[in-house]
Amino acid sequence: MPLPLTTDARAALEAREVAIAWLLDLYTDEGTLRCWDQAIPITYGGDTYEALQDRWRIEGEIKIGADLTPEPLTIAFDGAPQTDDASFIGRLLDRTWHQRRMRLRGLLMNVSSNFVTAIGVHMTWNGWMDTISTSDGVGTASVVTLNCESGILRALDMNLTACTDEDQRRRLSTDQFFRNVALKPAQQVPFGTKWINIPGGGSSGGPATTGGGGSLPFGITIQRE
Amino acid sequence: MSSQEIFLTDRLKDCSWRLMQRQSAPFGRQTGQVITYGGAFWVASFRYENLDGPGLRALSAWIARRKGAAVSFTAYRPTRISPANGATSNSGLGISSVNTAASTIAATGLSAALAAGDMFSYATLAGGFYCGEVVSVGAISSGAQTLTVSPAPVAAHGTPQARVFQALAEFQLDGEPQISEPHDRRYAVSFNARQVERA
Repeated sequence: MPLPLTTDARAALEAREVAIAWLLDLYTDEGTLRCWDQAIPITYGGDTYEALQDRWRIEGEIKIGADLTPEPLTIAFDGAPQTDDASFIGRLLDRTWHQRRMRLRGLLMNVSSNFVTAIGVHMTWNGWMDTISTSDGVGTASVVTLNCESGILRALDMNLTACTDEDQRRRLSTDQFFRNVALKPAQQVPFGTKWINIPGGGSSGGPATTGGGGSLPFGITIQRE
Repeated sequence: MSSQEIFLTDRLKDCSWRLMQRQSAPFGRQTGQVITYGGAFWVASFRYENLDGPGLRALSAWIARRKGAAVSFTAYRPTRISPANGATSNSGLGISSVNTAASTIAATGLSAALAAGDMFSYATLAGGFYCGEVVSVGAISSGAQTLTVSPAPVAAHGTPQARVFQALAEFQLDGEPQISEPHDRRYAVSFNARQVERA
């Protein structure tokens, strides 16, 4: 659904000029670092964003997908002050950031206010801080690169856990549906194996099986190798 | 590193200033719609010609003191040294308020009214320089005048040191200076610079 246009936004569009700024939130172990890409600080949504102006930028594309594949996002910071603990990048490097949340938001601004009056957020990119690399060399800019990743499951803040047989039995003690769900990658699922031959399977409660071939409750016959 | 040393004007043949707008290019002619990504800033190109030996030595040492882009310098716009009213002093000039959103500066202590096209500078809260071009003016009253400027002004220092005569901007070298040392001793130097912003 498109964003409803405010009077300011409509006026900006009619003036054939719109202004966009970027808000960055990095959720570290010692609080949230917030900055934006303009010259003077702004308070938006109750939070104050430091004015980093050109000292950071978004590298490449911002991808937002509806699939389950994590999308990358790369943010580059001016690396020259990285050893200054008081600088923004210095504070980030001094804190614990790995696999902690980050958020990038596009902020529509009132174009006639010189980036003082905000209209509203037009996009939000939620992700996790993944890796940081630095690039320093003669003749090139000193850059600290923060690689982030998203993912629809993570964006929805879901816990990536598997439902085990025990989990399901707590909900419905007679439901055996998850008895054959693999809990680890590449784990062998014991289809067609007698329950009494599976360690921990017990001799009762499982589906009726035969030695040579398995017969599942749904009438499907599986031939065991 | 901040030096803010003034630039040299001896044998300066060309000093062109340009305001760099940070915005997208229009997609087509019919709408002309653009997206603005940030405030504008100044870039300038400097060209010195027919320098004699002492002149080249002074300029070469001045460039060496810049240490590439590490040490900033200050410059005024040679074509706008004085405002249109002809003022040659900044004495008594002050700022009563700065409005970033409205792009206005309320100047005080003016001996005569400023006009569109004049340059205006002052010290910023962070110890840098704001330098802008007056684009429209209000009526002057008892030396006070509201100036609409471009680019947008930022918060002023407690001691703003406002200037209309030789209004200063802070720059750093952009790229390598070009120095020509031919046999006929008609030396030439040119370099580009971009504004240092300390808001």
